[in-house]
Amino acid sequence: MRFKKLMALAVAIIVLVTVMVPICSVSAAHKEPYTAEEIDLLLLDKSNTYQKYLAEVGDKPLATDSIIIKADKYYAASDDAKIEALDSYEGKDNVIKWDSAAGSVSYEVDVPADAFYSVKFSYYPIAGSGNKINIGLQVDDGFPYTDLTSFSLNRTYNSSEGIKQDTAGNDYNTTQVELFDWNEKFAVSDSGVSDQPFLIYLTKGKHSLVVYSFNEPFILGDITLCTPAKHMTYKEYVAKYGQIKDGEWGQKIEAEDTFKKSEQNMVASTDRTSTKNSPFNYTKTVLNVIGGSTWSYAGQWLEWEVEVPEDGYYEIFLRFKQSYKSGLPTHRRLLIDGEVPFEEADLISFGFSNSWQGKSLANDKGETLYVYLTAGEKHTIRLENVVGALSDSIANINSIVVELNNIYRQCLMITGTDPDIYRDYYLHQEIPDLIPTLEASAKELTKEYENIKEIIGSDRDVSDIINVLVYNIEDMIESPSTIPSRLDTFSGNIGSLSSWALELKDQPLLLDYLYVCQPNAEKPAINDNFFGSIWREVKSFFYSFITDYSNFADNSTYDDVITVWVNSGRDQANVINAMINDLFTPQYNIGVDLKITNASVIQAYLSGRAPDISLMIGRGQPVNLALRGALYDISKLDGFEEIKSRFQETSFVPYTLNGAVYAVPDTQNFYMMFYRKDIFQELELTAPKTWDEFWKVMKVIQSNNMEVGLPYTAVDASGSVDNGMGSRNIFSAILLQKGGRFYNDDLSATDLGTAEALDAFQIWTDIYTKMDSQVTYDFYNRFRAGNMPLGLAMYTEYNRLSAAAPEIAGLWEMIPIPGTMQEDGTISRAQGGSGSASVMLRAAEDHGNVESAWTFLKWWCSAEAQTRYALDVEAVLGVVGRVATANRDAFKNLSWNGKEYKNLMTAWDAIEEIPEAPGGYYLTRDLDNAFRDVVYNERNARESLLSWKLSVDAEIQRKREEFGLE
Amino acid sequence: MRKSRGNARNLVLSKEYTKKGKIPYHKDIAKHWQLYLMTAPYMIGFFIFTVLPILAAVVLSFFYYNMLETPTFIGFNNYFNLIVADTVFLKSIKNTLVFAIITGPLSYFLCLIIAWFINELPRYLRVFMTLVFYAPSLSSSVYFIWQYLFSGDSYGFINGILTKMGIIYEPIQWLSDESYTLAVVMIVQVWMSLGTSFLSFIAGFQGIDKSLYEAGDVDGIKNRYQEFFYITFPLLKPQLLFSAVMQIVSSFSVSAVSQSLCGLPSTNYSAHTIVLHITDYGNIRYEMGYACAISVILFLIMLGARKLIDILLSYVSDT
Repeated sequence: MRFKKLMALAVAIIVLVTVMVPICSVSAAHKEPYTAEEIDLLLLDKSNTYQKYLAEVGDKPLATDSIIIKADKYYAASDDAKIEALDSYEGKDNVIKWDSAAGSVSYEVDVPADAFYSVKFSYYPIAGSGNKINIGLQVDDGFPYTDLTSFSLNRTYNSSEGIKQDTAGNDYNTTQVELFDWNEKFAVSDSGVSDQPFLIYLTKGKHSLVVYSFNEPFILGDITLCTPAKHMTYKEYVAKYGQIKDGEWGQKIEAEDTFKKSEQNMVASTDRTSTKNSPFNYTKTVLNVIGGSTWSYAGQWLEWEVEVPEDGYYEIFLRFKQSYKSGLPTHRRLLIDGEVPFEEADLISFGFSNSWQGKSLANDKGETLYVYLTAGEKHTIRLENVVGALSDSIANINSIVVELNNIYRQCLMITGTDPDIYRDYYLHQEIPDLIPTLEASAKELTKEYENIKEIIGSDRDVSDIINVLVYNIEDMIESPSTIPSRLDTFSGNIGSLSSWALELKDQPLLLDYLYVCQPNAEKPAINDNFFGSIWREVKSFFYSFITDYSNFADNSTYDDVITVWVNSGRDQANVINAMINDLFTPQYNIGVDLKITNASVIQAYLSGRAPDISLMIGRGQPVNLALRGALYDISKLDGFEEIKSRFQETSFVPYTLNGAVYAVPDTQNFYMMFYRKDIFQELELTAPKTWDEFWKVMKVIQSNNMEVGLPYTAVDASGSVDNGMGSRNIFSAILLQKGGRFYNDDLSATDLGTAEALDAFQIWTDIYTKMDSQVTYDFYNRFRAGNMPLGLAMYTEYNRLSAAAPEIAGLWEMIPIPGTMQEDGTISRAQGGSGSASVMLRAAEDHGNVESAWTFLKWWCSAEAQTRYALDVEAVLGVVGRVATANRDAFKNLSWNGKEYKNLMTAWDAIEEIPEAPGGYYLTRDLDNAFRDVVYNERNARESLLSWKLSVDAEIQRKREEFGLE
Repeated sequence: MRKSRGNARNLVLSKEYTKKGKIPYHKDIAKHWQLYLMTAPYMIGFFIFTVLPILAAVVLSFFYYNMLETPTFIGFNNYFNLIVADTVFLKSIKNTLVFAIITGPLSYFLCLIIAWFINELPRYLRVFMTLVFYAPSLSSSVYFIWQYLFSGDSYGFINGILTKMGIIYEPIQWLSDESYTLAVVMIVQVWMSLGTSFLSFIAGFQGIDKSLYEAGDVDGIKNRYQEFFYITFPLLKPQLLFSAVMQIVSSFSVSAVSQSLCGLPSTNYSAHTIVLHITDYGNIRYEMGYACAISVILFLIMLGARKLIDILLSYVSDT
């Protein structure tokens, strides 16, 4: 017994030492710049917060003078930083062009006195992959706090030609283009933990500042250590500019007519909830508002231009709607010509209401505040998202969440995901700091609750979420023996607190127009009156009978008109329509009848109204339709070879039959491996590269009572035709990596009788029988909670995790799936893909539209169109709606950062698409049957696969005879 | 006025029948063309949307037809294949019959009993409970919630509860393990089918004259059961017949529930029904001719079942 204890102690010490050593060595004094790997490790440290830094430094004076550092005056640059000093660039002198998107540059600065500084960068973005430019700032030997390790410099955008009308008179957005110009930005929190620029404390004397570049090329102008901004009061402002005079002049600036914006995806949208919307139309689509939920995150801004007739004071009146955050205000900062004019403009709150509201800048007492504008020049008005008074509380809650999640995981490693409620685990003894941490957290949470209640002024929306967790914790402290049975609730409560804190940070605001006018000038009405709104509803209702929603444009003016069907939602179709109007029709002079349908091509043929092109149809469809002579073979058309080169090399395989190609891929999706870096570090695991390693890691994770997620999707009707074999489970990966294949050469039978196939099938079923992996699970939630720290999932899962799982941001990574070591020592990471495709129908020939349809198809799968489509859809649906475009160049233009992009490319290159055979739906179906026979009915794997193979072969044979292929 | 004219016509009709026996059809039409005109709108619709498709299906069942190319005549081949070569079809017939035999009568009697109970409730509570029980059929695709209840995840509702109670240790794959699929679909189907027939029973109960119960009381009815069997039940005959037909039809045409819960096809076709088999061939394999042959057989089975119910009910009500 004692021996056991000693052993445990020894093991614990060894574990501690091995874990601590690398961490200590990193955080110790560091003369050389950090490497990318070290930075990654530093970013995992969630405890080193800005708030903690400020508390540690204490109350120190603010700097009184600014220090400007010219970018080309660096004293050292790392080897991987490719830097070119330029004497002058676009009006700025002594700059450096930093192309490598990696490395670091060191500067020396002489500080005159002990003080706090904020840091401002002037930079000129270079077209890279379109992501924000992430940089880091090291002060002397280390990063003062984690937020300074990586923060972003944004790019600026605007729509190329504003809003235009299509032939049917509906508005559409034109392309959002990046504006290249010198920008200035403070080092400021990306996550909104602080609204004001970050402060760094520098003592008198020489210091080194090291700037890191992580992902994008840019030109660095200068770095300014500024005196932290103190805005003047309105009184001082008025004293400075003199008397306020009334006037009549007023001008409306449509909010959707932006001058600049910080995000590509903030585009104009339509709101029909009031006839006072400017502009408004019952039957046509008018893009009359901007913002809303796409304008939610800290730091996003929109900018407008205004010119006034005479020098003087002006009121800035906003018509807005904030129906997003029930009971809570959202906040904006107003900047005129890039500066906050006075204190009150630094934080403007927009209260909640379900209807449209009007608001001018005002002080606490409700008195309107005016800004001073000069005549004869254009002024910019910028509204920037700020989190407001709650940002400190949010930061604190986030660090409590991290702490509690740690505790939860520690408990989990002892009890497992399914604790035996009849067993005493003595968790409070096994984890000595369990109770103290819980007590501290409960106290902190109660404090934050009081805090938030005071700021918001009511506890309506706060109380439940924090208090429920506090009660939960108190119960756990009171009777520690019940902790195991409370763990589930505990983790759920932590999860909801964390997402609540995330939501609290969102600051959505929908804007209709800005009205700039002289003091006391008349302003437009905000809302319909009661009868007006009833009349609006009645009218809209009747107009809905005469508006054709499935049809988009009126194409009677074009000689060539093709019909295109889209098998998707209205949002996607709207985007496609705008693209056609904006890019396709003007360039090729071909009209496009775009229709949203979910009808099958078969039905279209039966009714004699088949389109020329159908977009986004399931992957099993093309071959199935082609067999019956419904599709046009595009492989003989000119330019096909060029088109082929836009895609991954095997991506045409599922659409090829007997040498003819019947579709162009739209999307291509595949598996990636997701793992939790923090848990892997704790368990001293490294991310597995091969399946052998994977099984080992899986054992360690399972012996720590956590799980590993290996996907398995059950077949359903449409699924079995539409998604094909590819990414339904990991069988295809194991089989292909072993050198096996699904079909024989002429697709006349399956090839599952081979040793490789039987072996792969055995491994696949073993995962669920011997290794006891679960067949059904919710990856997203379990990965978040940490009880499934490793799993395979479609790469699009990345979007969800990065957008909706803030508490684990930076704690996880997405890498290619494990591979199999080949005889020549390389690792094969082959897997089958999935995704949709676009087809040209044989009907195009009957309509005499083959040429035009082919032009359209070529355009649609071009990098330009696909990029635009993906970005616009993302703008409408958010990151979660990111399109898994199959076009490689377009993919590069989406906002993937360097590392993710590299990983995705590695996995993508390895894809070996699986052909679609006539009758191939039977393979999916019976492979599933074979699998279930083994897993549920404990049948012998080999026997099961072979017997079901017979059934598949019979169906394929039957189909081949039917189509005269034998 | 109107009434008397109607009576006169009836009189004329019956007179002619008695005099000459059957009169030629065209003469009859010529004579009563107004009647035919008035039924025409419905009859035309019925012919186009019901009779014609049935005829088309019968005809197509002798063809090979993939919906895109011209049909080719292949005689009785589809039927031969169906009966001789298609093992899945036999399985689907078995499943469908199991459905019809278990869920049909089960939900039928469940409807009757629940309707009887609810009928005893005070008025407002009765209205409320009626709504509660009718709700599943009002919102037709609400059975999706069963997907969550029967989720195969270890945190799925039923798995979670059973694990907590210590009955199971590993999650059961309710919707894909073939030992459970059929049972699960049946449960959901019974839950779903407490709809139309339930309403018609409630209406039937409401329509019974209260004085009959009083009369029964006088005649010596001892308890509620006797009241139910001697008075209520015989008076419900029209509703019983209607519901029985509805139930049989709905149990024979079970498909959506099975498809959306267990997928198409379900594991090893364990919850495969005839209608699903039609979907499989029609929508997935595009073999319309074959699908038509299946539907013709289903049609015949249903006709037979209806006949059977007629016989059964006439037997019940005669005694």
